[in-house]
Amino acid sequence: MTAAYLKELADALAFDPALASRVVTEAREHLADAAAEYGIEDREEAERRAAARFGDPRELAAQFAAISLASQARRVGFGIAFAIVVVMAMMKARVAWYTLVQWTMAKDTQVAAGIVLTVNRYAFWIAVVLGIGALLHVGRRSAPARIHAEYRTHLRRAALLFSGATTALAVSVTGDLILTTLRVGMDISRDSVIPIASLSIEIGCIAIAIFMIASASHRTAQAARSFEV
Amino acid sequence: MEGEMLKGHLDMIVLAALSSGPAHGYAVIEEIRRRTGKAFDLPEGTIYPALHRLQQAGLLSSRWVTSESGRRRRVYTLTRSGTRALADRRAVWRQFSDAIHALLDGERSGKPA
Repeated sequence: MTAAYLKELADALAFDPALASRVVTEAREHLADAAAEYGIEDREEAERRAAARFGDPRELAAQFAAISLASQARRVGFGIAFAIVVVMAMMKARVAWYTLVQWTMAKDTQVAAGIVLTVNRYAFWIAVVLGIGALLHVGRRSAPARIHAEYRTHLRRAALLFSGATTALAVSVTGDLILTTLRVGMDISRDSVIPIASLSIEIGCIAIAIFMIASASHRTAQAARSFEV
Repeated sequence: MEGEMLKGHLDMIVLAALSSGPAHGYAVIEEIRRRTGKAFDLPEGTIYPALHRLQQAGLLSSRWVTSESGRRRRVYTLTRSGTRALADRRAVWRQFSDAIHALLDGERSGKPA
């Protein structure tokens, strides 16, 4: 009886496997205590009563869905903030490296580089502003008891800010890619290891941010489809 | 007492139950039953979303504890913010409760004979 109940609970919480695992462990212990409290010989009956007292698994999953989405939105927010910090650190590291090895840009590419650098700077600061906005937006309200239309709107706005910040950051990293290509060109030497490695890390950050946003959107849609009131 | 009536106050109830010390979910339910004389009739599982929500808000902390019998339980503890939040909610609740008492008593005493 308890096993069937826990399976139903785990299935209802399938939108968040880590949460499902934790909740099922807690519920298992709770149901064991509750069944033991009856002190009756018919174990099946004791487990049935304990499960009935625990409540409808789908109703519980609906309450957990809102908590899960709020926590996920915070994770994505912090993930994007971290990506912005890493991209900035990589930019600074590259500039410091160019100074150290006295690697200057060819004169014929300086005009193009100037334009790209301007776009790059604006895009980066737009990413910073949107990233801070996203963090403030997700931090200003706690999880509601249930997912409702107004909370969905709140999450949609968060997703827009996340996407905006990541797009701006991607533009900035593309700028870095162009600038690095203009500087390094086909000259792959020991000196170019730092620029290439730092750029690879920046591209990796963008890929992770995009993955986080996509999986958060998928999970939000899945939970809202099942539990929105 | 009806479950729907309780849901709006569940967070405060859970914080109050944990004010006597760290406890796992089932112990929280037992503490609520003990302190209210079994007046609250709520699906027991409802306590867990509340515990998770309060933890997410920083009002509770939690950790896994394995007993000698090998059972793993999640034990919840009030944080400093949780203690402060409980004091605030208690004050608001007392104010509200006094106002309702005054209103109901006034209505009773104001009735024509």
